[in-house]
Amino acid sequence: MLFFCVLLVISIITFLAKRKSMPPKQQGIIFALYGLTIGLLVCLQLQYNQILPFGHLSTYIAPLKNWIERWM
Amino acid sequence: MIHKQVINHRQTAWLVGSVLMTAMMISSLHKIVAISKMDAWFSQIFPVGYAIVVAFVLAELSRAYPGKNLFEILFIVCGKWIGGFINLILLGYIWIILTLDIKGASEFFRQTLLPRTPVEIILIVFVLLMMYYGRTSLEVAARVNEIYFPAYFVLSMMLYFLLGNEYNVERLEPILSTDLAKIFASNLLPIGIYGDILLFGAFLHASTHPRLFFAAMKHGIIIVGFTVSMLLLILLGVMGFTIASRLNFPIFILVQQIHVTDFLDRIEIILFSLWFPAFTIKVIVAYLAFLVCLGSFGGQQHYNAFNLPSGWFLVVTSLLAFPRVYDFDTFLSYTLPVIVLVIQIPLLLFLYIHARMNRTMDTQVTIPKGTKLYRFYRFMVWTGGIALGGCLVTLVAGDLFVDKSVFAGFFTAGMYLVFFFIALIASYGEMQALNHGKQKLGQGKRAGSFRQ
Repeated sequence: MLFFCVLLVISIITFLAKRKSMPPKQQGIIFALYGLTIGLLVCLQLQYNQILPFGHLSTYIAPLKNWIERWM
Repeated sequence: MIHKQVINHRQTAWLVGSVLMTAMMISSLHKIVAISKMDAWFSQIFPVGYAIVVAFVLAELSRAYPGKNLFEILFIVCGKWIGGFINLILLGYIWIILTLDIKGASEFFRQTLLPRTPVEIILIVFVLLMMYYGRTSLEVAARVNEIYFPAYFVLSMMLYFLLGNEYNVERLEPILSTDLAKIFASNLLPIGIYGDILLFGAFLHASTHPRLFFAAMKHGIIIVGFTVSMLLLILLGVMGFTIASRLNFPIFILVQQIHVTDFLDRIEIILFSLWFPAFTIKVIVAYLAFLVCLGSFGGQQHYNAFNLPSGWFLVVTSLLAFPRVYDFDTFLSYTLPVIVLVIQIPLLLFLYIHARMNRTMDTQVTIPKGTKLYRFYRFMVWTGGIALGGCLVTLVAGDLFVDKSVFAGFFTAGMYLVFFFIALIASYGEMQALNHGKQKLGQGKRAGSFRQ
């Protein structure tokens, strides 16, 4: 994780140094991506860190899952 | 992205093969086997048909909006806000594919080949590799794929011979005794993976010959259908459905069963060192599509600027997603097919109607009518269509009407495989005929079939 954080910090510094030459839309997207990355990295350090809803999506399609598993 | 790139029809077909086939090797096969048991190898015909329809719509879009990719077309057709919203959904869909593949591959390698290496290390190394390719383009991935995909395909087919001493045809019997509804249900699961064909929408602007583009994608899809059917046939013949349905990574265990001689005991290491680059190509194609989609939001032709932030974002989200193999497996089997059908069917229907209304580029004339080549092309198109239809008819008729005797079972199964193989050969003939037609018309010396 330390290696990852070092790489992340280097790329953010590089972006901040170069951002003047970038169009505003491009800057906005890159800011959003770095912001999300840092936010999720903080979440990753928490004890219950499984915040992405992939696991829960199956709950919403339970009828299909049950229908398919009926055949097993 | 701004420079011209050359990707020919064969590279397109093999890229489609890599994208669709390698993802299936990780995990999805055991659920299919659990549903339709010894008849699981009939589970590819509906997904193949679905992927061909998607490829057809993409080719129609390429004809109606030459030089534009799927995301740009959506902005043109739907406007800035609605088009942006739909593109955001597509961006989320591609992100799901990437997360699923990165985490799936990392968990697979940790549990099978690298048990002492933390999953974070495998994941970061994998994403760094993606970011390296993200600095390049689809052309580089296509060229690397030309080395690995044929080797991967040949080794997959050779499994039948390498595992000949473990194979018992009785494990497949009684053929087509499974209820037709179960076979239909098992045909639904691979749709999630075959839906990845939509990724090629990100590279539509590179297509200058939509008909050839479609023929190449169709050939790639049928290669996948045939190869996966054969792999399932080998898997079931070696392990039987009971064992195969209970393994998380059945193909890995299948390859481990190869015992040709005592000194060739670890053939899986050789096979997986070929499988890994082929799988990497699949993830790289998805990653490039992700970057192109982001680029369309930024209004930029160059997507290199998004490479580093996208890579780090994917590392973190992949670490957070799918904590257990069970979650990954459930998502791949049940949720992904629903996501694919819910997103793709309305979108493609809407875009197809628009494409028919705005068709500007008539490329049906790549082969002059009345020539021998044109007759050969028509023959191949019809043969391919009839052969795929024949697969379906054999499956339904074999399950409903033919008695369950050993002879009848093998006859219908043989017919199914022969029809599938004819479809494969016909799709190759169709692609080659179109390519020869293009060359004869003197268009071959342009900057390749597809430019990006």
